[in-house]
Amino acid sequence: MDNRTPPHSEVPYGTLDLMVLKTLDTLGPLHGYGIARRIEQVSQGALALNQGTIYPALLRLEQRGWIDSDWGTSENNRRARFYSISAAGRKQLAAEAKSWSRTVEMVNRLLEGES
Amino acid sequence: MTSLRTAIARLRGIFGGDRADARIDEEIAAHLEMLAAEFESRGMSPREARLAARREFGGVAQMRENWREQRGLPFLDALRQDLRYARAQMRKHPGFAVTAILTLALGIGANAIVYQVLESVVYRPLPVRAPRQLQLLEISEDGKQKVGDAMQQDLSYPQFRELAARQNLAESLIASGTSMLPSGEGKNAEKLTITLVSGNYFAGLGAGVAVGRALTPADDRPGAPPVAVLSPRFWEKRFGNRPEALGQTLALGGAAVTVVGVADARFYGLTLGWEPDAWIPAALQPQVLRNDYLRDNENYWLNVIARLKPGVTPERAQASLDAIYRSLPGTAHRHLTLRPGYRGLTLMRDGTELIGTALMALVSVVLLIACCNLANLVLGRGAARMHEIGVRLAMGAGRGRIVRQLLTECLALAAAGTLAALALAAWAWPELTRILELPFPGGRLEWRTCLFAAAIAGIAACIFGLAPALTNTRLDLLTALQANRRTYSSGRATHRLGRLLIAAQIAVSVVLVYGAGVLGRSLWNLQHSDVGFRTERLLIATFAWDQEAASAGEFENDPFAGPLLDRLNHLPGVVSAALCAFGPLGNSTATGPLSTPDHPSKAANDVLIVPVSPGYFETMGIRILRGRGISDAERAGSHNVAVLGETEARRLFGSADPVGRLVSASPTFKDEDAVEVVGVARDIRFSGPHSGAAALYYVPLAQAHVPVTSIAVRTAGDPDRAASAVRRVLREMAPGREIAKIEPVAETVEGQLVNDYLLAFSTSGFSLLALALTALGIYGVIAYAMVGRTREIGIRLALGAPRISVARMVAREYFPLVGASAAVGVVVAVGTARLARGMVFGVAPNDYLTLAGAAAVLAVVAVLAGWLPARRASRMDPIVALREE
Repeated sequence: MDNRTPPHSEVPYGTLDLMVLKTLDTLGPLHGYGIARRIEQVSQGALALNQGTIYPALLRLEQRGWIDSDWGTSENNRRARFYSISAAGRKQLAAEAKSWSRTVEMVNRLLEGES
Repeated sequence: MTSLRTAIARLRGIFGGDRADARIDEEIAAHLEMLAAEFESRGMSPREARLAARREFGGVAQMRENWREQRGLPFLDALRQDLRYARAQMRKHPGFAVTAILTLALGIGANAIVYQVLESVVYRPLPVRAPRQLQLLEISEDGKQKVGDAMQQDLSYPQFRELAARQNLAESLIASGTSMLPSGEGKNAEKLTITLVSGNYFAGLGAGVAVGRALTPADDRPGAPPVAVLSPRFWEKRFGNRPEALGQTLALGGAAVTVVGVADARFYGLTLGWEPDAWIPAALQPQVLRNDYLRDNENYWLNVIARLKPGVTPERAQASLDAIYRSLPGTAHRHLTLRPGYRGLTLMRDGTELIGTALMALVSVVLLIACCNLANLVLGRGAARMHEIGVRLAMGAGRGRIVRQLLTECLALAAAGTLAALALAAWAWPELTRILELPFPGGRLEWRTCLFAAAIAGIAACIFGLAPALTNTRLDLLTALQANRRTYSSGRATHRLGRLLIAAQIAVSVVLVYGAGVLGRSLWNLQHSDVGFRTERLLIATFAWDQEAASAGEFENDPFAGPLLDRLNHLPGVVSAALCAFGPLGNSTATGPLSTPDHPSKAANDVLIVPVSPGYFETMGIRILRGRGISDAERAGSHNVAVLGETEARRLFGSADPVGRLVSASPTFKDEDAVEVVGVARDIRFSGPHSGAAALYYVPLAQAHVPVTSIAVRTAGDPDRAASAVRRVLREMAPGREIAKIEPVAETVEGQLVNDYLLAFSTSGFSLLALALTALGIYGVIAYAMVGRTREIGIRLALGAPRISVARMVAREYFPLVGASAAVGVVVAVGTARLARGMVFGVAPNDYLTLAGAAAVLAVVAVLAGWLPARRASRMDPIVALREE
């Protein structure tokens, strides 16, 4: 039994949602594996993400109505569930991105002022 | 909006459970395949690639659990799962499940039944509209507490009319008075219980009718046609529930009344357990009884209940009504008070409330002890399941999740136990109403009772489920996984909780045993208390009190008194006989003021007046302390004399000798009705063993203008055998008087102790049960601890330790625990004893002897329960013990 991995991802709380939405917005409909892959690539290995943790997040986003899902066929001809961003999801993404940049900007200013 | 959407999605999730599970499983499989394919393309072997994919993905089971929690309302979803698991567990260990369910069924069932009695007799308000608005009017006299319950009537008809006309804070004042009236002629007349009511009775109370119409104010006018509303029970008995009863006439006393309606089936009048056969308007009183009470200002025959206007406080209403009352003639020294009337006029409620509350405390304590035992069982079983729990924790299940699941198993057991308990209670309740003669024929369980049972079952499940669950999940994974099923050893926490549970059991049992001891001693005291007269071989016959005949003066200076005494005294087996009016243990009393030239009367009725015939003190066995008793010399018209009770003599004369002094039966001494004291008699407990010494004033029956109400007969042998002869003589000599009862006094006194017997015996029974449960608990915990330490004991024995050392080891470990918990029990017992003060007689609240006894009983039980497993452990063969490990 591999018990070394922590039970929760080290992705800051709430940012996983944002990353998923952004990925779907950029790349269009994608299955869970593709989303996880993309996030790993973009983070360039800086995120210790268990790929499995993506699924509860996907379900959460779907329940809120920000993404939709449907069965489709993957590159290697396997049945897979494809997720796509909804109109409400785009709105949410815009709002979150804005608030995220504001936060980052604020923290940056704070850090610069300190030094 | 988003949260609503989430909620709906989640709710849907709970129901499409299996389909959704299939979906996530497929997604995971696809994901793993894609990952593995990628690793393979990087040059791994298929096997390596599959493993790498799993690592990259993370814990599948854990992720699936998270996903499930996100999917449904996690609680409900988990519950469904847990229940399925609990059912499987029960099937796997039916013995444990059956024990637990039976224990709970008995414990909860007993609680439910007692609650049901309290609910239906004590708590439930009158079945009328807005019962909380009702207030009872009570009249009390200065310096006197109102005695007993509200069966005493308070107001006369003119007083009621005045109050009703002048008050303005109540929507209505409703009057009622109940009489036994003959229906029919002569000897065959049936006695009916009739409540005479003011015309606003039905409308004011908000009591409806099943058929016909209710009484109205128009019926309650002089000259209105005489009508009656039947009670539903009487309607059934007399008319077989036929609607043709309407319009029939019913002979009542001297009148014929027409039936106009039948009251609603739920309505029983104002007194639970005493439903009248019919209600008639108060205006009919002069027609159905011989005397006219409607104009009599001093005949108090009405109970009055007020329905206050909304927003009027009882305090305000009382002040206003009292002011009006005191302005009425003949109300000096008296005042009017209000008492909540939502439960009507009490008859059986006060006594039942006391007993019921005590029983409730008892059965809940027994349930508590049973819960401790169950907790120990669950704890032991949890330890046996340590391996299983360890595996589940290792697989990534959260501790909270497992606690919840263990708790669900207990809740499932509790639910099953509750169902069994309610079945038991539903079966026992009609039996109980029949045996205890409660007025609820064919009673069903109240919904509140079911609710109550469910609530205590929930609490019980938390007690016996939560603590073990928390303890059992606090384990070291490595140890748990290494432990195999046979040689589990109890964790420290498990053992600590086990000890805590038996400590609680011991403490609670001490309290129960102490309670049983105190109530037993109280009962013994009551049985052996000196009532002031000799109860053995004494027979008392009581005439039914006939208010009618008494007010008509029919039996004054009873013409048959002299000859009757003669006849009785000459009956075979009779040592002596005497007559009296308003004597002890009877159903009527007379009170009045008593004064001397130096001491005016304190209140309007200082003393109990007991007119007695010659030979009374000798027959009753009441010692004359000074002077003499009442003799043949006292005749109507001769010199007026009296005998005082001890207490009254001391009040009036202090330590001086009262013999030869004068008293007068009026508020202030009056020469014209001065009476000479000729003797002082020993105090008696007038109403039986529970009552205190009464202030007594004996006068010669020949000089009192009252009817004989009771006859005392001292017999040579069994008083029961003389009873029939006495009855024959009474029938013959006083054919007009109805004999209420002839009973040996010893039996009457026993009868008064019914509640005390009930309490003493039920407490004893329950404390025996508690002791047995506690013994089982101690036995279980120690036996379990011994099994866990087989190896240690085996080594000790193999190294040559004497066998007795095992017993010593157990004693060292458990004696301090037993001692400490018994001490806690003693402290709690002393605390609770104060609450039960009203129920015990002649026992101090801290009865040290009984306390020490209770603690000793527990110590003995604990030692015995611990000795068995300790002995077994000490007898083991060290070789076998060591080989087993």
